[in-house]
Amino acid sequence: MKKEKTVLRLLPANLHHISAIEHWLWDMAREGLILKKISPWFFTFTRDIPRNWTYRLEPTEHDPFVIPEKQNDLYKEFGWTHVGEIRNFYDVYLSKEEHPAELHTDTVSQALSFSRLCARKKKELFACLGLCVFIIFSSFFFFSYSVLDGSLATSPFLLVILPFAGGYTLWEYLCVKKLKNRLEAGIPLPKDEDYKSLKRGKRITRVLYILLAFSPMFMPTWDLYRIYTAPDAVAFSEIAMPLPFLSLDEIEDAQSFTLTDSGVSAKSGTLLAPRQYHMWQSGAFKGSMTNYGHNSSYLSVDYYQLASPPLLQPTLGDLAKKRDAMPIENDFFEAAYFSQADNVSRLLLGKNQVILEIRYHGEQDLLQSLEAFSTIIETTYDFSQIPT
Amino acid sequence: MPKKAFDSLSESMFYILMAFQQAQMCGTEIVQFIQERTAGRLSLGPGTLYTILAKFEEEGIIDETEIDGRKRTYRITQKGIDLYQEELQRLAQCLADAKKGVPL
Repeated sequence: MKKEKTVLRLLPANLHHISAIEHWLWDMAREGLILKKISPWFFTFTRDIPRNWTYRLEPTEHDPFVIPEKQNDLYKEFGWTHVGEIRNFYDVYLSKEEHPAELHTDTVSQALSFSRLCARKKKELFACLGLCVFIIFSSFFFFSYSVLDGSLATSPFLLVILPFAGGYTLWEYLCVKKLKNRLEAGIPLPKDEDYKSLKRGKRITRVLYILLAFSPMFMPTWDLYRIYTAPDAVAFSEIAMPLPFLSLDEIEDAQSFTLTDSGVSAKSGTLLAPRQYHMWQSGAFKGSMTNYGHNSSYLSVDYYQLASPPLLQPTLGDLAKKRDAMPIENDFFEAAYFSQADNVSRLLLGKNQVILEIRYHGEQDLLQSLEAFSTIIETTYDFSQIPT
Repeated sequence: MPKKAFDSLSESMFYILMAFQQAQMCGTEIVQFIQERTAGRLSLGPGTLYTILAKFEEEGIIDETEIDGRKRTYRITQKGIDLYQEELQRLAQCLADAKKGVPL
């Protein structure tokens, strides 16, 4: 059995250019491409002999995936058959007659079908806006720390999809409303729009959609691109360079000194600053310098890599707030904080997109050793090499 | 209040209500009736017909009475009859107003 040859085509014009899409389908039929199936973004045609068939688009008045039987029955009586549905927006009808009866002969009643579509788009728009408001509300009222603590509701998926879907639905709603108003004023829909001249506009819109969809990857506070493309990294074990108070020899000799990895973790953010705090890599040195039980000296270094440099100050600020640390002046870091409690000194140091959190218990003065940490903060480490 | 949904009926709506004054009808019969009554001046497309019938049904102006295969038959309700009468009176008043000043 000979397999039907199918051809896929993208919509040549935006959805509010109804007659352009109808004209395009008519042209395709005249080229022998018969519309078989409509998926959300593609039109599937099969090759046949050229036909002079007429297509018409009707605003969808039913729920998604429901076949409008009542409407189809009536249309069939007049020679129009249902072919498919474009994104729950329009039903596509086909007439094989040479001069078929027009579907609409009255602009007022046609406006009624557009007002139903308009009402549906309005509902979708309000749903999107409602979710956005919920997320903004949650970011202001539910969390005392705006940067470090995030809402579970603000998953990256929602953060990308909601503004995009909201904007798109708003645009769709305005287009449909414009058509509805036109019909209500007794002006028929535009006829014979040239889809060929609209193709360029559609292409530009398509590129804009793609850019918009990928834009979160490059936004300063989202910067998803950086998260998924790690820079050249060195093994974390190489952090065993001379640390303050501890020479390389001492590290190698010290039986009790261990490397630990706190694992990959991430914090979801809020809508306003969705990905501020992302510990996609973190690690810690922990080791007793002298093994004398509870009072033994120790030094631990946590290394946090943030999603992007603009997040450094707010994240560091929030960490300092949580640790009751005070800012200190220094020549090596963009910002530094210090705190002391229960004989434990704590330093928070930040540069570019790295934060070091150093905890020290011992007799030395941690503040005198700031320079020693600048080498660590300027190196990118590969934590995958740390034995678990 | 039926008038709230239809402050003024369009010509197509009016003729569809007129068709139902004669008998129960299906889509093609309505179109045929209107074409005969207006001597072809007014023709009704299926899209227009469906939208108006759906709206009328939603507002309780007509009822579906029979389904025979693809053919669906409707009848007018009391609410529909009242609406038609009101519209007739309104149109008659319009005509009377027009006749008052200017000879037709």
